[in-house]
Amino acid sequence: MKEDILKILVVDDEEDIQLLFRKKFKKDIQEGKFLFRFATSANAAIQYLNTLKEFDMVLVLSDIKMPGMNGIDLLKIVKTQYPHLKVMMITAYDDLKNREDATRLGALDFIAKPVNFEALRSRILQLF
Amino acid sequence: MEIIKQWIWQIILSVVLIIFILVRYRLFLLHKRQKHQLYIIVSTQEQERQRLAKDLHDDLGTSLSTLRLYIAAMSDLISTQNEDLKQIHGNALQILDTSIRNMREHLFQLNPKIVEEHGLPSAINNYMFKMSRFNKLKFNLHDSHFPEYVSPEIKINIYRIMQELVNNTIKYAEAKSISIQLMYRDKQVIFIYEDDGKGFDNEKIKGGYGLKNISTRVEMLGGTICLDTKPGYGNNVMIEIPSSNKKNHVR
Repeated sequence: MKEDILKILVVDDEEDIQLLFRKKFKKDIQEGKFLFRFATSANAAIQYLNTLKEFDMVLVLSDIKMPGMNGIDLLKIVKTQYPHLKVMMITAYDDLKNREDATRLGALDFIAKPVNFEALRSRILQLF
Repeated sequence: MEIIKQWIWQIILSVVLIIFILVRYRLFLLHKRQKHQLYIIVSTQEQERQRLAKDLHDDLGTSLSTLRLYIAAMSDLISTQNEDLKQIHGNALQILDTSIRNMREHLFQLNPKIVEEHGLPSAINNYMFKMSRFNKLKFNLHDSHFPEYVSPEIKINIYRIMQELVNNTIKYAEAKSISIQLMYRDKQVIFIYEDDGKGFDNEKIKGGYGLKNISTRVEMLGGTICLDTKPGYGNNVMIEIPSSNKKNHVR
């Protein structure tokens, strides 16, 4: 793992997901290992990514089912605009079609809801 | 000879160890005392603000209102021919009205009764509405089922923390928007503050008065604070306060 702080964007319309991330990763955030930013829609996520000046975000964790633009469309845009940015999908419904689409479009992994934060943490640390 | 040498070494080591423990203990006591002093400063500050607000309201406020009644009553007595006097009267009334308005604003800053009267979400909304109007900031408050029965101590302290954070954002962050979430989950009050400003290096600013004041308030309430900020990534703060903590007595 690099020494740099891992900057991660979480995209989910469910309000408590944000709180869960903040709570489960609290120690890592306090120790400066992780930095989380949150967007409640795919549109907000794209807007947010576009405002970043020095782009050193490394990972996007996105829900698939969201009102408005869904996670698969977001994945397409992110992979076109920021090809180096890794994307993982969070999903409550393990739908084969979505899984195939997302994998073809470059999604790295699937995380089932309810999120197993310990497993997610290890996966992220293993990746970076 | 060897045994004496060993003894000497053991004695030296023991002395060093004792000195080390004493120094650590002294530092611990000092830290505890400093913390206690901070608690006292913050809680006295709050009490003084409320006392001053009450005095201002009861004394100066009443006098100004009475004065306004008298001066307003004069308008019937001033003859319509006397233009100069009419203008002076008009000016006096205008100045008086401005003073009353300003005093109300100061009173509000000193003792935001709105927190008790209309609840914390309304109070935050009201404050943010005022601040965003003057500072071209976009503001968004998300409060999902925030219960009214949360103790007044927690509410007033969160309000003060919010003011401190907003002031910091306006002063230093060059942010475009502020977002606040107020929640109540598992008997915990959760306050999340986000701005999209410059962000800062947490390590460098740790001792700043504003942040110290905030963490003292959080500690007084038996809560925790988690600061998530980096240059270029705005400022994110999460505060969790147990709503049934016995420590929640300082106002």
